[in-house]
Amino acid sequence: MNERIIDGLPLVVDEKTGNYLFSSRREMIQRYIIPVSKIYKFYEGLAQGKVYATKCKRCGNLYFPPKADCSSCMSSSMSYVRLSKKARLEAYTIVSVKPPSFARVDDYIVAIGRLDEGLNVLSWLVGIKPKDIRIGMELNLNVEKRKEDGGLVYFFSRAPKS
Amino acid sequence: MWVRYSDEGLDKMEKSVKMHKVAIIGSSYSKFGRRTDVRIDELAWESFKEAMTEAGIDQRDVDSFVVSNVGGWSSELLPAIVVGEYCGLFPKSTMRVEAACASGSAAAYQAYSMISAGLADVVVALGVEKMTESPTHLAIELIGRAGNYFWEFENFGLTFPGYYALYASAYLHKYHAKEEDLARVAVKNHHYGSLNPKAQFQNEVKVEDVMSSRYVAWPLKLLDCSPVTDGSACVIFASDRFAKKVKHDPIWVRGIGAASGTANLSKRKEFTGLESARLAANKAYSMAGLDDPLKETDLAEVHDCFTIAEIMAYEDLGFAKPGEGVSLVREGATYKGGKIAVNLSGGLKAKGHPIGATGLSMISEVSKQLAGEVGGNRQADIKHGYGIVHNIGGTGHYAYVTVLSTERGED
Repeated sequence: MNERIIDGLPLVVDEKTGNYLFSSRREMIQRYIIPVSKIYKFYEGLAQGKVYATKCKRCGNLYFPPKADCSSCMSSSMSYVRLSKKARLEAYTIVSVKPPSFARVDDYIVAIGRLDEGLNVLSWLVGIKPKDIRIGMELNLNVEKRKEDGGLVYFFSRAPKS
Repeated sequence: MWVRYSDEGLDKMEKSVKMHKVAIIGSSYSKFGRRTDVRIDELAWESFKEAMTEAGIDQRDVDSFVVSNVGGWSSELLPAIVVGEYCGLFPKSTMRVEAACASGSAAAYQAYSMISAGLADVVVALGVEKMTESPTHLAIELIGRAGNYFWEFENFGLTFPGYYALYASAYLHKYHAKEEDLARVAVKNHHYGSLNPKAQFQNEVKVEDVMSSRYVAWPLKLLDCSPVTDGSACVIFASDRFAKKVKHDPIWVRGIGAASGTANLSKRKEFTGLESARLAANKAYSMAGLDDPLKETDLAEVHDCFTIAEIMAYEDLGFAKPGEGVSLVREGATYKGGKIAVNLSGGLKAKGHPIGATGLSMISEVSKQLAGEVGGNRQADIKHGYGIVHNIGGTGHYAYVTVLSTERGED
């Protein structure tokens, strides 16, 4: 869709249909700046190789992703608890048609693993070939640096045979 | 045999408060597809004009209008007032409602609530989506972000097919189902789409076509997925006392139920069905007085954003026990004349999925099916006079179930 039709106007013709389209020139770039003070300890944990959940000091409810407020008993007094490494694979997919903001990444495996604590974590499953994945298999949750940009994230990998 | 879920799903219906009955006096949906011929307000106008003409009313009769639109890929950030101005509906009260892909049903829910409470006699519910104002890769980006952006998209790049693929992987594993079973849903829906001149896709597909289409998010392939679509739909709701002035036998809204699911998919209890859909169905069926939808209804429009979603819908709506939804597909039991006709419009897969408009197009379709106005080979046989609309937002983030009937029901 490239034909300029009227000088001075950003009109183009749609190739497939011949319809006229106004190709706007107003652009914007957008990146979000998101507050994380209330769960900052979670990020300190990542730096130490730990994946933290929060636990309500009053009622004991465990939360992952970590929350600063307990929606169960309404307290905001939380302690940070390290999650165990072990999980079982509940569901997974291999994302091959990717969003543009992930376009430079290879196809990735998104997995939901159920941890021994009884809660689930959603993350990438790395270091495994798709043909070797079985629902129910044992996984480990570790903090790693993402190879694309060195970002600290928690990832699943196959649990080593014991 | 559908088992009533539990009392926790039931609304407390206060019988002492007089609630007005709600009817549909006109409805329509536009041609769905890549609509490079119309702007968003012009597209909304198409179904608005058809619905108003069918109802035989003009803007003076309208008390309020509700617009369903998700946007992000389209330029108008305040679609309600832009569409309202174009359709000449100002200065009537308005809002934009959003419930992701269930926004259309949310608009219906709002219209229903206003009339039933006596705040309005006539409410226009108008859904519109113009996804092709932006390139497809941007639509993929935006829809992928629509779950929990912070914990699921930022680091893990979920996509909408990816979300449902997680469910598909668990369902196929637990119930020993195959990708071919998923493909059969697409085959059925394309068959009916080919009979629907308003559907985006007019071609039939075979199981082999689906199986050879490329993977988008394993195990879902391109032909397991509903497309990017532009479209609009309009349903005009009216109170009993107004409806009797303009329509001899309108279709009645007999049940309406809604529920939500956790934003983070990691917080779901299981991945083989949508609990929000079951809760919404429970409320809607209770309100409509339905005990067994298979025995008491004629057809359903269900939310097949992906083939797996239709199979889970059969179970969540009580057409099949958990794990047996796939049997209905294998038996061809949800074609016209089967146990229950599902998605005779072509469904989201073949008819298209213009996100904000879809729910209202489903309500329009079921109302016309019940009235026998669709005709031809995709007209359901209407024996009971009841139909179900199942409209899901996101991955069971929002669930809306609506029951329509030719019968008004008692006061």
